Amino acid sequence: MTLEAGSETRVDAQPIIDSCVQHGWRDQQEITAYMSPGWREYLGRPGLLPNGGGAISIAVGSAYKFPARPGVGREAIRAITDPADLRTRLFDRGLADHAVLGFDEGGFATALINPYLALEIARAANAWTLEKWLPADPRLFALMLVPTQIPTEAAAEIRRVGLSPRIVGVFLGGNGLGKSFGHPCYHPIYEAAAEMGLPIVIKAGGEAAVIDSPASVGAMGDPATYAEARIMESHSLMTHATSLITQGVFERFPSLKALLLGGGVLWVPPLLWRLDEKYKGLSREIPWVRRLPSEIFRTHIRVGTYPFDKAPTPALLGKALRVFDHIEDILCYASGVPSWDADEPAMLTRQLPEGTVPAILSGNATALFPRMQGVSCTALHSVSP
Amino acid sequence: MAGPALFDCDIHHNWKAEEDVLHYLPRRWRDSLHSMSPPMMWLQQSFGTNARLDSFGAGGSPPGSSYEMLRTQYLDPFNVRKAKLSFYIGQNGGLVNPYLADALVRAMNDWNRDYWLSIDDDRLISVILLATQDPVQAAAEIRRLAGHPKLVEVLLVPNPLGKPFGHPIYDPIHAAAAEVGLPLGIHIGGEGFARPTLNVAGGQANCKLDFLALQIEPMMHHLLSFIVHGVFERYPALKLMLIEMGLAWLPAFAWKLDAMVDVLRRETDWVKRLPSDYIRERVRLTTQPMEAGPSRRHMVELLETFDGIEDVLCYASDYPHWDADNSVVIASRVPKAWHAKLFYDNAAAFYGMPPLAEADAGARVDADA
Repeated sequence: MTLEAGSETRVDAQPIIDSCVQHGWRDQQEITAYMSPGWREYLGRPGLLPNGGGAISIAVGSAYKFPARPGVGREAIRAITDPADLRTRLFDRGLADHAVLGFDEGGFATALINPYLALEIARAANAWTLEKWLPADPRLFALMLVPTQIPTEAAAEIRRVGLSPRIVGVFLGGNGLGKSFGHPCYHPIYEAAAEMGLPIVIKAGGEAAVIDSPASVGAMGDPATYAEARIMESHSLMTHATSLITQGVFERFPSLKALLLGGGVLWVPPLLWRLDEKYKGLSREIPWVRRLPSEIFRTHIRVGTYPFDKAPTPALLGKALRVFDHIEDILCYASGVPSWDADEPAMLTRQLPEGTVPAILSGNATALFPRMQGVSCTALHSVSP
Repeated sequence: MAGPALFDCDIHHNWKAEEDVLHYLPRRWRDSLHSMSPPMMWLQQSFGTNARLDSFGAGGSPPGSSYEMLRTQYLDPFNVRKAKLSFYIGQNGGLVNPYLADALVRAMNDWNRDYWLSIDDDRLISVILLATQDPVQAAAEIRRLAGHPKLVEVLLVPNPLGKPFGHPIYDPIHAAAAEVGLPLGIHIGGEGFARPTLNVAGGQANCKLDFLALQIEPMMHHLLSFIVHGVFERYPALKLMLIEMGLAWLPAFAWKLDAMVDVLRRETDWVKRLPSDYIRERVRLTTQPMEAGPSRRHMVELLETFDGIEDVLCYASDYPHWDADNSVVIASRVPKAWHAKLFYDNAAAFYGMPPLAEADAGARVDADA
């Protein structure tokens, strides 16, 4: 099978699972429609007052905005707000055979300072995904959103929404408590996810995308510019990965897996080397952790490729990737569409070490998201609308 | 145990008794601190000791407080030619009261000059420590002490303002350091306890292991801020030493910066050159704690992906801390071709001193005279 994919060309029949497509709402009334009349009245309706006023915005948005050049790339970064649009921009171009919907900036709305509103947003966004998106295209799977500020409610939501077979993972959304995600306060969420056989997903930006988040984008506070925030997006992922390991999440829930994405890939080897070395001196602090942090990482954590690291040359990139033995075991292809720095599979496969492509493009994702197993790409192609 | 001749960029020294420093303080602060037991000269932390147990002196005197022990336990047996004394670790200026913090750090600098830099040992060099929360006062402290021949660096540790050290709030410090011709040093650890600063992105470190493993995050933010806020452009001679965050993070971080140069330039007027060029020209990294990686090969191959890495690395031991590096081990883990630069000459050039061969030749001439 060779598919024309815009300027890129598919070179083989390697199935592609895109582990991170960021779907969103055009208008928050799409979400509030799933809320109770009381919440709808409380939030109001955009446009009720002059100049678009009249509603409390449920997605405040990041303090950091990408400084696009006027007119350049506007189409590529336009929000994906309906399944037909996604079909045109992703499937029709052969950029993926399956996609996991993972929310755009709107998914971080659960960090809003009112935890009850955050809970309502999560419930409504899940209902919206289940009704608007999944029935529209059999190639779509989705993450569910959870209100992490009320972990017991989040657990209940996982046990409820997680019954839907095409919900394949739990997106932790924005960081509303300001604790790194390994903190014991979140463990009820992981208990429920493990029980339902769902991995958790952490996306970089959960500190930046809602200004209410009490956690910072960079160590020592927030940076001054968008570029700094984007450069440092791997930092919160490092913190979350470290805390998931050291706070014993994977010891308590041995079947749980986590996907971390949005910070690229090359942050992993230096962090794991440091963790292993500190573990040798300080394992007494965390007696419940019985294996080297790097072994736990290899077993339980997967890393989305987006945005793939850009080295001066492919040879240097290959060299940097190879210092982590069998890095192909932990990477899952993710495009990040429709972000300005989204990736395409051909760009990635050109640079990946030989033999690593099948695992990264789909093998690891089907292992991570067991609910996608047994779904034949070609079979789904034949029934695609 | 000999190993290569060392220019050690990070040795921690301390006072034997609090009174050694307290008597440099104005009466007001001395009385106030004497009323507490113990005097609050340190930021509160709950992590226990961070020193080698064999570095406590007779009678339990603090690690790093005895010149004799430093000499016999470390400087002589490990062939140390230059020993940069860097306080223990100098977070003291992060106390919540900025006036007390300023007075205390002044007293510490006086104590350092009188107690340590008066010792007749040419190997000893040291730093001007700052209380960073009042940058104007801190700049005055730089000007007060600059000119002392053994004070070779301005050291930034505590960060109670919660901004990376390249932020414009610190411009008085940048300006003063550039004016007196001293490089800046940043030692990790100051963001950990100086509230309200968050020590990592995405939350707080939950235990010492987290805290230590993740200290690359604040250091990357510091470095990034120097480039974004144009500190290297405004002060063309200013240089920066990054102390105690290891090395393996550098190549991928530099690539991220370079890949983002276009976006950086849209948001700031200051990024005139490729970010990695600033790093190569102005920034040096101390080696400790040098990552071991799965093998020597893994580590060296990763470092080699940063073009010119051998020119930016400077040896540091972190004596007498528990996780100090051993120079003999480090020598076995990096290519021989890097040794002369890494163990001595890069630091010597950075601090404006002659390279090892020249220093040795000079020493022979002195001995002959």
